Amino acid sequence: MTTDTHEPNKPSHFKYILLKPRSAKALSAVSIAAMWLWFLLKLHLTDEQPGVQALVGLCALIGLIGCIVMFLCTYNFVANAPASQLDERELADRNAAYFKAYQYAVILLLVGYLGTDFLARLFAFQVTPAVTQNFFLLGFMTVLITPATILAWRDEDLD
Amino acid sequence: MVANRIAVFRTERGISRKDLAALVSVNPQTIGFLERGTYSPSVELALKLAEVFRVPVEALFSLQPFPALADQLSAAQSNARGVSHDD
Repeated sequence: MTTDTHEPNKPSHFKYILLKPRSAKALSAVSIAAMWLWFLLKLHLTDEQPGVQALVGLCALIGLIGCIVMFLCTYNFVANAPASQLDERELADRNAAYFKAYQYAVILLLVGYLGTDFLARLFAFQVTPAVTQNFFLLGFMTVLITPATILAWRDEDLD
Repeated sequence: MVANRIAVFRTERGISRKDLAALVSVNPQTIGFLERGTYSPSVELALKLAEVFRVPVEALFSLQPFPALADQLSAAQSNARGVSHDD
């Protein structure tokens, strides 16, 4: 049990961006959606579509900036803090968040490794090294913020 | 889910969530989660809370929902009236 060493309002929080649950929920949803949209739009991107190119660029920008902000927020502190700085509820929430993140990562790898050929045939795209690279970036950025995202979605706005 | 009377005892004693959290070494948000019944505490935390309020742990936590205070008050008043009539 680690509750003895827990100090509420710990000063180490100042290094992180303090996000309210509502803001963190919105930011995480927008970031993950933008990253996925970027990846899916890029599958069908051609040089003759400047409008779509701009949209793809915008999605990448929103997704990457959102993921970086989520990575620097207080929920990511809870996701990565030493156990001695968290109380029992935070530890339980973190365990649940990492389990969900693990499940998401496994599904992503399964889709990437086994399902790529099938999906390529189904949605008519070629699995080029660039597509694989984009998929890895999508996976890396979204898995990186998944624990913080789940912690934010489990949190409640204080009255 | 374990039912509890933390909010009742805390209000009665005039302790803020932050102060109670400091007394039992948890985050103030955890007290909110406990009071709303969205988190069940460990045995250690339950015993610490009971110690803070100086009550037996079963007065603070129960596996069954606690009866409403209004019902308990009216039952106690009925009992008191019954006792005085008997006298």
